[in-house]
Amino acid sequence: MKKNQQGSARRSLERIAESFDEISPEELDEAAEELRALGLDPSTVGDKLEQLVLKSIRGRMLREHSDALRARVRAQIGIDLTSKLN
Amino acid sequence: MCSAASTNASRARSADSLPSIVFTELTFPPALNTGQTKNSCHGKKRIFTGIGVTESIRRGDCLALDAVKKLLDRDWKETGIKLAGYAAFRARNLAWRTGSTEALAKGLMPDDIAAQAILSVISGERTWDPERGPLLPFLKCVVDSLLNHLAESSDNRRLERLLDDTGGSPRGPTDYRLVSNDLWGTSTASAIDAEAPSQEDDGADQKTQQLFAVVRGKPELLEVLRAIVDFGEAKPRHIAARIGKSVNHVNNCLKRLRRLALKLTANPGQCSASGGAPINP
Repeated sequence: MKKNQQGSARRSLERIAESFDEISPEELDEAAEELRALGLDPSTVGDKLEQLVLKSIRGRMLREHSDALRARVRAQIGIDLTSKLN
Repeated sequence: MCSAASTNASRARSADSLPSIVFTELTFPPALNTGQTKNSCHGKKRIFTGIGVTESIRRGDCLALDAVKKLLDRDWKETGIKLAGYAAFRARNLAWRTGSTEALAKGLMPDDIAAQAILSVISGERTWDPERGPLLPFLKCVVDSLLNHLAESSDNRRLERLLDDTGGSPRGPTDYRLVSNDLWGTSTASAIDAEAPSQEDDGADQKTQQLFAVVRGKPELLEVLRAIVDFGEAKPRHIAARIGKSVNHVNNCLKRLRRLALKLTANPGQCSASGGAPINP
């Protein structure tokens, strides 16, 4: 294969692949179809991701809580508590 | 007893079921309450106002929490399917382009990629600003980025043995080169030795020829394919302008072309470059 033909073949393939990327699924049924094509059940995938998200948001909120508590403790470090010793 | 929670799928389980945590002090910087910039929220401790965290999130005390509120308001089942479907779509395109039977490296499936994308946003590793655009397109960009990273990762590399021009026997140990299964055409080896003949070139030529062979007899598809190859156009609106048809028509043709291309990957023997039985789109 000649050099310019090689480059041309690759470029053509890249352009075709790029054009395919332009028609990504927007609707729910199109997305579900893509998952089915790979042997995945869309409903199961949706449930799994939904559970994961809610669990992660809970985790993030608990982290915020713990950060806030730490900040509160730090704010109280400067208070003179020697009067409490007795 | 729990019928309300069980019947109402995602939203009922979102904010109200989350732990309500009470704080008693308010040392919240006033700037954070207005929530103008995301930077004003980052790097500072968020201390809530004597109300539960969920309540605090509902009020949107700062931009980061406003983003969390918006995350909670979504129908995640639908978003998850759309995002995983997008990852599957990209993975299948990559599989066609590379000829690889495994779309993704590291044994990951498209739903794993979607999960990674979502988690990176929730954890704050990737910052989504609701004011700059909707969540789903942002998540799709994260999926693209993850797929790019996977494509370039070492797990997805292979040793390609260069064959000599005559008989196909290896020329020696120095003739091995490391190439990435680069799905975007920027492979390491290509960059080093772009003009060397390789199986990659032959494969690209063969794939293109096969696609032309299967659209023979389908003038509308052939017209679109010609516009892509001859004019180097990839955007549907550019192709539409070239051939004087509507973008909708081009999109439909591209979908049919893609289906044909994927069928060719699944059944490579079904049609050769020189001809063969046509595959219906």
